[in-house]
This record gives sequence, structure tokens and C-alpha cells, in this order.
Amino acid sequence: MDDSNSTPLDKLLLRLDIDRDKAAEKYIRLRDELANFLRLKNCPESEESADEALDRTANKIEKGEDVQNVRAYAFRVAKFVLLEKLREPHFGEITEDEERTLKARTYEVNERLECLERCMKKELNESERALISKYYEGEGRSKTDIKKALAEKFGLSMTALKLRALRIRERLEKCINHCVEKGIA
Amino acid sequence: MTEKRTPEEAQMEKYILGEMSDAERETFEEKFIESEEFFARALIVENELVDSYANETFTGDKLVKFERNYLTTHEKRKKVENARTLQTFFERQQEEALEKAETPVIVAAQEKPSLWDSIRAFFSPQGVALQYGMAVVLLAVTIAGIWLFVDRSRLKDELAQTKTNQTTQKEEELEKQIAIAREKEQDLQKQIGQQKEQNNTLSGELDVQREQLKQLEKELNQLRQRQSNPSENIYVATLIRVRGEDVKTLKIPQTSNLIRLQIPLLVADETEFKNYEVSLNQNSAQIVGSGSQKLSNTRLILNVPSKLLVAGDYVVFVKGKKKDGSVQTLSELKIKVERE
Repeated sequence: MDDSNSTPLDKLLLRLDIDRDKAAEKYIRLRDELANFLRLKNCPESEESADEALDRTANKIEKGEDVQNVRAYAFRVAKFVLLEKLREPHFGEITEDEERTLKARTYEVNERLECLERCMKKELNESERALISKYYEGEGRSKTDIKKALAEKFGLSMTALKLRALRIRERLEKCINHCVEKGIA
Repeated sequence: MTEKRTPEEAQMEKYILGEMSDAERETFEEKFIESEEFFARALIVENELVDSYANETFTGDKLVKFERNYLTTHEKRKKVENARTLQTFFERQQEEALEKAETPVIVAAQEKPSLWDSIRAFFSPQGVALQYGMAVVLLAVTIAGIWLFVDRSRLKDELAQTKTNQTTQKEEELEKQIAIAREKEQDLQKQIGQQKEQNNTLSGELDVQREQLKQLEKELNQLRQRQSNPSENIYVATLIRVRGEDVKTLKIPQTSNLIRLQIPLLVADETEFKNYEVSLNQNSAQIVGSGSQKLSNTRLILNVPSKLLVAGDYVVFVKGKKKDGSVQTLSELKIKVERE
């Protein structure tokens, strides 16, 4: 790629991986991590803030800053973005936010179920559907036993099984939220 | 949550429930930055906490901590809604699977030859050995048929027993949940009663305060107006919400250099908010803001230069900033300014 025409994003992707497709996957993975991190830290708009953090990281790389570890750098930038965000007065935002939450409790329950059904078919293959259905089966003690059996069946450690279930659930939740907000799955 | 937590997971839970000090949190977050897997395991712990809350297995202290420290943003509340959706979806799936398993097993009836035919065939002069062999086969088939019949009865019993156990288990779970819900309802009703009592007391106190403030405001304005130095001409208005009055009208003399808006604010818990902000807005644009301030004698102050407050309609916002950084709109007061 001709360096003079590269955008900051191009340079960031190159830093993530020399293979463009793999770099894109890593970018999405990092974006999700940042959004989750910011959400845990009570950021009001975690996805937008994650994008902001990655844009700033890309700009720094483009300006020639020596960024050894892109992930670590992006996390630290995200913390700064969050500090700035929390300093801003949220005129009207909290009110709309709470209103939306109230609405979500009433008419969204069935919509979410419909969306989940669509997302299960759209986002997951058969094996993933079977895994996640089994993962959430059972109550109390039997749930733990079911997970152990599931881990054995797939030849995974418990941690690896939980990580796989986590990734599947993340995809489902993303799909459900998108579906509920836009009415599209 | 039935699985026992490792010490690491217990720390993750502490982090997610906001139980760490600032310094502890900073140190802990370094681990997220160092290790992708560590962060992923923290997200697993988060999901487990959210699932437990959605499943209403939290009680007491943990329930309070979760609701107070975790359910603080729209995104986190959305996560709980998603957890409920997943649980409902998979429960229904399991119920449907159980219903399908109840389809009875039908064993095809074996047509047995009549006894007379068997005897005749056995004693038939043609191929006695063959006849004999067939009889043996017939006998074997009969025995198999009887065995299948017995086995089917046994399986039916087992299935019925399993169903009963599952139904009993489900019933017990539901009863448990109903008992918990009833307890919660009683607690909430008690709280509502207490709150009503408190409200009545505060209402009375507020009325007294209103009267006093009105009087003070009147005296202060009279005093200001008697002053000869124009640069000290301050108009003070106390913005008290009066029942039935949606918009408060302020008649401000042209000679005023500064308009001081006083907003009485009564909060049930003074430690809930770190500080407050008052702003004057017109047509969704801020004219002037107070910046962060603390409550002084249960009042907030906003000083507005006279030249900024021309005749027209305004809205005064009062916002409180909590310790976790979130901002809550406490009050919205409409005012109409007339210049005399």
C-alpha cells in the first residue's frame, strides 16, 4: 500500500496485523473490548467512546508516535475519553435515557424475544446454537454439572467453554440491541 | 450463583460491584490492559452476576449493592434486560423439548397365529422339522412380545416419575420465587408508608420556609433599592415552585445591575450528591451557568448580569452530580422576565 495515501485507520490496521482481513477482525475485537471496559466504568455511551478512543489512537500512530502495544495504548486513551465524557454536563440526556429504560420494560419484552429468535438463526451456526442452549440449561447444581458435561463433549476446559459462551452471548446481545433499536435483525 | 468463586473471581466481582477504592481499581484495571484473557474472564463474572440478578437469586446486601452500584447506566440496565430475555427464551425451549419427549411410545402388535393353527401346523405330516422350527420361532416371538410389554410399562412408569419430579421441582422453585416476591412487596409497602409520613413532615416545613423566604426577599429588595450606588443594585428573586403556578414571573427593574436567583432545594439525603449546577437557558441554549456549587443554607445561587436577562421566557435547570460522576436533573423551573 502506498503510504502517502494511507489514512490513520489504514495505519492502525497495519499495526494490528499485516493481513488486512485479520487486522479488521482484531480491530472489531478491540473495539468490543473497549466498549465493554467503558461500560463497566459507567460510560454513558460506551460504543461511541470506544470509537473515539480508536480514532485518537489511529491519529497518534499516523503522527508517528511510538505505540508499542496498540491494545494497551487504546485502553489508556479510552480512560481519558471517559474522563472527558463524565465532565460534560448531560443536559437532557439522563432524562431521555431513563425514559427509554422505562419504555423498554413495557413494550420491548416480546420484541426482545422475537429478536433473539431471529438472531439465534442469523448469527449462530448449529453447533453454536446447541452449545449456548445447553450452556443455559438447568438450575442450581445441575447447571454446573451440565456445563462440565458440555465442556467434556466439546473437548474444552471449563474456562475455554465459558469464553466461547461469552463470545456467542456478546454476538447475540449486540444483535438483539441492534434489532430492538432499528427493528432489524 | 452456585459455583464457588476463586480469589481472582471474587476480586472481579468486587470490581464490578464498585466495592474497590479508587487506588485498588486503578491497579486492578492494569490487569485488564495487560491480559485479554483476564479481561474476558471479568466479563464472564459480570454475565454471571447479571444472570443471577435477572433470575432473582440475589438477596439482602448483594441485591442492594448490585442495584445501587451496577444498575447506574442505561447500557447496564439493557444488559439485565437481555439476560432476562435469554433466560425466558431458553426456559421456553426446554419446556418445548420436554413436551416433545412426552409423546407415548407405541409398540406394534405382533400378530400371533391362532392356537389351533399352531397345533395343526405342528402335527402336519409335511416337514415336521420345519414345523417344529417355526413353533420354536413362534415361542420366541411370544416371549419377546411379553418382555416388550413389560418393559414398556416400566418405561412409562419411569417417564411418569421423571415428569412428576420435574413438575414438583418446578413447583417448588415457583413457590420459592412467589414467597420472595411477596416479601419484597411487603418491604416496599412498608417503605412507601414511611416515605409518605416523611413527605407530610417535609411539606409542612417547606411551607414555613416559603413564607420566611418571601419575607426576606421583600426586605432585601427594599434595602437594595434604597442604595444610591448603582453598581450595587442587585435584584434578588427566590424561585419557589408554587402549586398551580407553571411559570414564575419576575418583574425586574431596569436599574438592576445584577439578578441573583435563589433556588431552595430540599434533598432527603444530602450525601447523595457531591455538588450541584444551576443554569439559565433560553430556546435550548445556555445563557449562563453557575458551575459546581455546594448547597448553602438549603439554597443554590445563580448570578445573572442584568444585560443578559432581557424580557422573555427562560428555563432554569438544577442538576445534581453524584459521587460516581453521573448527573441527574433535579428541577426544571420556567420563568418569565419582564423589565420595568
